[in-house]
Parts: sequence; C-alpha cells; structure tokens
Amino acid sequence: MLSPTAHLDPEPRSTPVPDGVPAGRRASPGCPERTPGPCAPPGLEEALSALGLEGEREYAGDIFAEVMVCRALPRRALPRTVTPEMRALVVDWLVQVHEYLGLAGDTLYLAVHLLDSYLGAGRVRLHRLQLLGVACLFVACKMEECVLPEPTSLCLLGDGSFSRAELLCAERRILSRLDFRLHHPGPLLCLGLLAALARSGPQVLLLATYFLELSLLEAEAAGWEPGRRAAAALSLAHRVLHGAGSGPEPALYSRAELGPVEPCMVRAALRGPAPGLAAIFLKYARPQRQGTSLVAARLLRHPPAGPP
Amino acid sequence: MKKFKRRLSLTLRGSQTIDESLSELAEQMTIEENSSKDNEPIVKNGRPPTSHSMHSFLHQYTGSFKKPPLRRPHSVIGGSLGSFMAMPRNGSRLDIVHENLKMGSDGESDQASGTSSDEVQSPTGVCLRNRIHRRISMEDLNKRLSLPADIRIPDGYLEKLQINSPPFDQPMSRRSRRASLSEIGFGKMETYIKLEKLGEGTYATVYKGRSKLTENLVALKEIRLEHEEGAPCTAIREVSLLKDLKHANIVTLHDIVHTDKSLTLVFEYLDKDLKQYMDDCGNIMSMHNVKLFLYQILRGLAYCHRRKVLHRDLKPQNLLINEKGELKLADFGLARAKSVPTKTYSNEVVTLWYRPPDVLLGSSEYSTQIDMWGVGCIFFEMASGRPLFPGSTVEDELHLIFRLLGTPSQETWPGVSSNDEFKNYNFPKYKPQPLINHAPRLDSEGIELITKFLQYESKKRVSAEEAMKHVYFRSLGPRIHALPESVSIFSLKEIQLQKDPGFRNSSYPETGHGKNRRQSMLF
Repeated sequence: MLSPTAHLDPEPRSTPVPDGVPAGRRASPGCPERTPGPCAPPGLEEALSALGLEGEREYAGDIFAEVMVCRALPRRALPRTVTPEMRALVVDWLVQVHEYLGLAGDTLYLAVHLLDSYLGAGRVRLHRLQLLGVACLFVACKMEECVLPEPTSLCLLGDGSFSRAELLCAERRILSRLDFRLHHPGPLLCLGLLAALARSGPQVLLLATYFLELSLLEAEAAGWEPGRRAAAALSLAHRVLHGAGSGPEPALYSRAELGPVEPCMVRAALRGPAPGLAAIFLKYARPQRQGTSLVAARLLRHPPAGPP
Repeated sequence: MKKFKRRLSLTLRGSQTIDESLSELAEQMTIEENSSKDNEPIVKNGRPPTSHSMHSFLHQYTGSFKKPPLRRPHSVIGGSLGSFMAMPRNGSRLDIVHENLKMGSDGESDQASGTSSDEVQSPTGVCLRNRIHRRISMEDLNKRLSLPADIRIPDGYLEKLQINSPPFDQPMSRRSRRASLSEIGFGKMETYIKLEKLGEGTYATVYKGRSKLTENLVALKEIRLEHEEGAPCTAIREVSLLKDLKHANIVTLHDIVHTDKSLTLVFEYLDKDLKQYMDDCGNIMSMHNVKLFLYQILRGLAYCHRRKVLHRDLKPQNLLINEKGELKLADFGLARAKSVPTKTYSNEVVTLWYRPPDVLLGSSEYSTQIDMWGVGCIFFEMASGRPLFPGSTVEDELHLIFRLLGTPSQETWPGVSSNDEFKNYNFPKYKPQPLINHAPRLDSEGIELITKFLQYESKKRVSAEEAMKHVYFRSLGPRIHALPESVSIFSLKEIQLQKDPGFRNSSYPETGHGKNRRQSMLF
C-alpha cells in the first residue's frame, strides 16, 4: 500500500507558482494524464454511498486519493513569539466562536489549518494572535459556508479588541501570505469515509470526532496528514469503547504509524475542562453530544476489558 | 483578572490531568445544561448564550485547582481572548506569561508591515557562507522562480540579483521567492496596461490588457472590494481553486494584484467565448470541430471532477477559445471544492438553459453529474446551432425538457412521482422524441453520447471521464488519451481545427465583439 511518510517532505514541493506555469509535479512531460493514486480499499464505493456520495462512485478512487493523501503542513516550529499554549488558547476560543455561530465542522478545521499555515510562514505580532485567529475563521467561512457571519458580529465576539477595518486588513494579510492557497480537504471527510469503510457505529464515530477535534489544540498535530489524524482518532475510539484489539485493522496506516498521534488526543481527553482549554470538552459534554467527553475520560481511566 | 492569570499559568504549566472523579462531573454537567435553559442570558456584548453554563461550570471546577505562583506576567496578547468565557467584562485583559523574553525584538518590529511582501528579510547567513560568483543566466532564474518561458525580466534585475542573492543552488524560502517575484513586477498593477473594457458586472469589470513583463495580452478582472465584507467569497473561491487547477483546458490565472480598494485577477487572454465563436460562424460549426471542442470540455471537466471541483455554471459564455481552437473552462466563481457532501447549496446556481431537471425540481444534492447535463446541452447547441432548452422560467425550462425527452414517470425516473414540485406543475404526458430529428448533423454515435448526458436521474448520467472514452471520439486516435495534463490536444499533429462552413470573414475583428461578450468573466 502507500507509505504516508513519503508525503512528509519538509519543504512543500509546489511552492507558489505565480504565473501560468504548471506546478512541477503535474507538468513533467511524458507522465500520463492520470497519475496513479493510492489504491482505493475495497468497499470504498459503498462507503461513499453511505455518505450520500453515490454520484461520485466513478471518481471514488480519485476522491479517496485526494482526501486521504493530502499532505500535512511541513513540520515547522511556531514563530518564536508564539508558544503552543498560546496557540491552544486561540484555538479554544475559535472553537467557542465556531460553535456559537453554528458553523459547519469543516470550517473549524480549515480555520485552524489557515492559522497554522500562517504561523508557519513567518512572524506574527503577539497581541494580534486573537485577531489572526478570527480572521482565519472569517476566511474559512468564505470558503466553506453558504451564509457568512457579519464582520461586525465577529468583532463583537472579540469583545472590541479589534475593529472591522483591522479584521479586513488581517484577511488581506492572510490571503497574501498564504498566496490564496486556501483549499485544504480537512480530516472530517476522511473520518466519515474511514468510519463507513470500517462500519463503525454512531457512538464510535462521535467519540472519534471528539478525539479528532481535540487534536486541534495540539500544535504538533498540524504536522500529521488529515488522513492519519482521522485514522488515529477512529482507531482510538474503537479501542476505548470496545477494548484493546478491537476495531478494524487500519486501512492506510499501520498501528505503528498511528502510534505517535494518539498520545496527544489521549492527553487532551484526560485533561478535561482545563481553564482556557475547556471548549471542546464542554461542547462534547452536552446532552446533544451524549456527554461524549465525559464518557471518554471515564473509559480512558478505566479501560473496559478486551473482547473475549 | 486573578482568574485569568490563574488560568493562564495553569495553561502554561503544561498539560494538567484531572484526578477528580468524572462521574461527579457528568452529574454537574447535566444539571448545568438543564438549569441554564431557564435563565439563558440574552446575547449581549457578544457573549454566546452557552457561556453562562460554561462559565459557572468552569468556575466550580477551577476552584479545585491550586493557585500556582505566577511567573513573569509581562507581555500581553490581544485584549479579550478569554472574555468569551464570560469572565467579567471589565478587566478582561488577557495576560500571557510567556517563555521567550526576547519577544519584543521580534514581535514588535513587525509593526509596519502592511502586506507580507514588505516583510522581506534577506537570508544573510546563507549569503555570507557560500557566495558563488558565477553569472546567473535567464534560465537559472526562470527555473528558480518557475517563470513562463516568454518572460522579459526588467533591465538591471539580473545584475542586482548577482549582487545580493543567496546562492542559486540553495532552496529558496517562500518569502524570498515572493520578494523576488515582487521585484520582477508580479502582484503590481503597474505591470499591466489596461487596453479596453470588455464588460462590466455588479462586482467586477473586465479589461483587455497587456503585461509589460511578457508583452502578452491578458484579461484583467477587477473586483471592487466591499468595505463591509472584504474580498468576496466568489473571488476567494475562484482564486484558491485556480491555484490548484493547472490544466491545458482550464483558463490560467497569471497573477493577483490585491490592494485595499480592489482585487485584480490577471488571466491569460483568449479571443472569444464559445457563444461568440458560434455566432461568428453563423451557428454552423464543422462537425469535426464540435468533436474537438466537446472533447476539450470533457477533458477539463474530468480534471476538475477528479479533484472534487464542480464547475456548476457551465454555459457557452464560460468556455473560452483561442485562435488555435484551444478551449478552456473559465469562471469558477460558483465552483467549489466539495468537501462536505451533506451541505446543501442554494439551487439558483446554474444558468437556466443548462440546468439539469433534478436541480430545477428543487434537488439540492450536488454531485459532479450536475455539470454533465449542461455538457449535453452545449454539445447539442454546437451541433445544431441553437440552444436546446432556452426556457425563460423554471416551469418553461422543465416544459421544454419534457416536451423533447418525454414527461418522466416513476418508471423512467424513480422517485419523481413523489416530488411535490413535479406534482404541482402537472405537466402534460409527452412522449419522448427522437433527438436525431432535432440535430440531424449528429451521427449515430454522437446521438448515443448526447443521450447519455441527458439522463433525468443524475446518477445515470455518464461521467466526464467515461464520456472521453466513448466511441464517438475514436476518430481522434488513441494518442489523445495519453497526453499529460498541461499539454494541449493540438500538440498532436493528427489533431487539427477545420474551417467552419458558416465562418464569415468578419471585417471588424475587434469591434464586432459586442458589449455582451465576456459575460463569463463577470460576477
């Protein structure tokens, strides 16, 4: 199968191409029109149908390839002025704004992706971190949402610490620094696909969604591919609910490859509603989400016996 | 204030695990949820309704933590990062205790940089260590910056580069690369000369222009920026999509000029759109050219669909054609990378004439097949010289479709009989008519292919990928299927445009293209 480590090269291969020049990897003459993607696992078409994507069976393999093998951000340290804790604080706040505005799940992942890309591409003024976060959310909404939040309401949620003009200026800076490369297939569709492939139940999926969202708080998680994060969250959810050794064999990643991703999710789940990092925990503790975060913490502390 | 500091210092001490029993927590949580319903605060001061319960919960909970000593409470980030957590509104300044004391030197010096291109930093360390004194040639530069082959670098640029640039064998950072591009003239309006206005829409004006760098013609799509909302979604989506889409049958975005007043997209210039092309040849196209154009539409579309990008607004005005006969898909303002399949969009996206019946009947399920109906309509229009279903309203459009293809029934379109809109229209029961009567110039293979596009059920429509392999295209030879993505089909010597029988030699080649052309580029 494919080796995801091959996609972890430190420098992005396609640096911004300004001008009508086809990106290198797609333009090398002589390569066939269709570059062979990773082989789609059996049952993929059924999994797509389960997600309401039966129209896309024709492109099942291509979609799988694009979603699963989307590369992670190059592993780059945060700017010196930003600690992982500060980043987590901003993400936590974004989770609350996101939930309050009732935005789509992908919007949150895209916003955090944009934040990480921005932080990875240069300096940031420290007292602008919150503004940067909300501007990333604003841009993510423009990519994902049908109805945009009003810039003024975003300013209100920031409690007046930035003006609308500053928000729009930050947006311009983001677009410029990221060179309008905003598209990023987040890990949610990966998770949906993998769960459908593994025929995971709704409880497993909800728990995995929780673990996946927790990984947003961790700066190091940005260095893993969305597919790998989704696979790790799902595998962890299976094991937490049904004991060690349960759950499907991961389709794309070996247990060893998922290993390093899981601790950050477990750590975050055990941390509970730590001050400044509580938003995801509280969000998933609500009855609408069946108290998932509470269940998770309890199960992680007292793992159920493995299957007979 | 105290609470903040405590919270932050807790944050900074690293991950803290909770040893309290979680079942207690669960009880508290449900109580909070239930009780907070009654006295939900009104959304005021930007506080979300949820914050009340969150706060009191947090408050109870944080009480159990010991207060750790504060360290270095100096630097401050943004005012109210935490105020969302319903901390007291006054004094909701957020102090961040921060590990790096040198932060001032780095963090504050950034003050002046309005756009990132100002943030140029020369990687001096590298420069000193390993300067290579060889002449930098144009090829070096083009390769390094991946510039188009026909670019003209301003005089003196190479000399300047010789003096202060990192050695050429070192990889270039994204920032210094952008700085170099900016020095050459990318991203600047001065680089482009506006020649004439091609059209104007609500949000954008399109000009024909010329690039001083390449001397090539360009199309400048100038989008006025809304002061309320910043850059429009359509522009952001179009640009970010086009950044990822590099294909011989998709219009190339050369450059972006972003100022606070406007956002200008610099596209390659193509002479006309398909509508104009058909007008110019008196709506009688060579059937060979119809095949070449259709193939190129499918080729561009298959490339998009493989990337989960739906065009969603296919029409002849959005298909641009140059004098070689190369056809390119344009206007991706309504397209989007489809990351969430469950999301529903407004169903007012596709121009009525090319809109599939399932969307006309209110379906909000969007899959790549919604583009394929439009391909069928355009195919017919090229072959017959007139639009297939030129409806003026949704009902009229459906009526025209059903009159030709037959009114659908539960047998021909499972599920249609339970569609409320379909029932309300109460269309007469038309029988399907043979398509050949309406497009007599199409051969039987063409008729077979067009039928595959014009399927009522979206999942039965042939995909772009599949359609390219249809026997209708066999006469183009086998090599056309093995072309690299960025290579035009006209690079094969067996592929050549034929003279269109109806082509009239326009004596006014430029002015003849009236005001209504280039609708495609407008929002």
